[in-house]
Amino acid sequence: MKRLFRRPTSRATTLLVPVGHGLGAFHAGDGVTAPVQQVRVGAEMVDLSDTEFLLWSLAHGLVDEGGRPTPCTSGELRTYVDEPAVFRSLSERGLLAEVTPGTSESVGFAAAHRLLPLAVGLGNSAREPWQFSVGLLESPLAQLTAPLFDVWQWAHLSPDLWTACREAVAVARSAGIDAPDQIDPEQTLAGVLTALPQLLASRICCLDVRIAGLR
Amino acid sequence: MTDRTHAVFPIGHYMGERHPERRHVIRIGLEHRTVTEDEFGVWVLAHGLPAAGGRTWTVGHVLDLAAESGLPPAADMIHTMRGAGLLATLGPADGEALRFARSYRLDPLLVGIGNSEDEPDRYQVGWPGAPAVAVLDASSYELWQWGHVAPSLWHTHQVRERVAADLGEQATVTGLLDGLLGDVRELLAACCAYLDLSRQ
Repeated sequence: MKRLFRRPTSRATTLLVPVGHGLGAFHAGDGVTAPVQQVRVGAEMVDLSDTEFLLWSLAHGLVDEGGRPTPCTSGELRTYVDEPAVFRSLSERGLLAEVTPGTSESVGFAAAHRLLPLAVGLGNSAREPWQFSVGLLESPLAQLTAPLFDVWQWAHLSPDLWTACREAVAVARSAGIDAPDQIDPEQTLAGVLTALPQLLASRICCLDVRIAGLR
Repeated sequence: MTDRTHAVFPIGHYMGERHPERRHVIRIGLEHRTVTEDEFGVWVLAHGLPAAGGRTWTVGHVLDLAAESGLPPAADMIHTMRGAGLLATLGPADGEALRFARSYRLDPLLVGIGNSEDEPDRYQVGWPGAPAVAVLDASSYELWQWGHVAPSLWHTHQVRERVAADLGEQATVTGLLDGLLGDVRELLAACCAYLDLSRQ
């Protein structure tokens, strides 16, 4: 059976990921108050300085020499912005998080976070029916495999990403699918987390924290 | 048949055209609905036009634009899509706006770019580093930024009601709901949000 999620590497990289929905610059308009950058995390609006926002934005994805998104790690990000205090501040406020696909800790990460779509689906094509585009009408931003497209479109209806993976597995099993990475929630989660650099760099979704009582 | 003067809203998150079936897929709650190319055209027209801003967008507007666009007569399609939950219509009768607000929530799309010192009441949304997809007023922008958290439009209405009371403003339920629906329309017409079933 062909694997439909990208296989996590044997020595999985510990990813550094941004959490929250970027709301942009806020100017009070009084000519006095310094502007801030705002991010919504759960039910909170967080103000970021320019340096904090730069670090948070870079964590969405770095690109290699060919323009392809590469996993963002704390070590790599520090080569761009070496500000340990800023780094620590963002982590303590839940705006940056580290997760290693395929580990038991990654389940805890998924149970504490949601995946929210920020674009529309653009469907597949007759030439490549296994690839699904996501973006704005007439403006594709990313191409996803069918199982990843499914997680992207349904995950926000679950209270958290781990529940979303377990529900995706239940649907796959009821449909008679036998691909191991689609009928084992931990493998499904590992596939989603491995794809996070692609998902976050293209801004077709964002991570948010789990909100108690919201489904 | 649906009244031409009633407001019309598209419901659902577009998932694209599926091949080889050549049907457009729209997710509503936990279900997919499929529509033909012509029905998809009507669903798109029901979003409204950015130039119309937050003004009421009616069944009549959709019928007229569908005819101008060369679509088949749209009245039957609107009736069918309303029955399938893909369109919601809203008349002036007591309680209709309230029921609508309780039934649906607004999910935002895109990311914020923000406002500027020169134009603090105009908020851009789109993609970082690209031209803005939409420029919103403060009220629409506030609805957009909290959409992922609010379980329904009714919840947002209640928040606005409390804020108005705290500020000592004379606000009626009808006036607040009209303002809220105007903000919803502005976001739909600008393609930076969609309506879905309210959360429990």
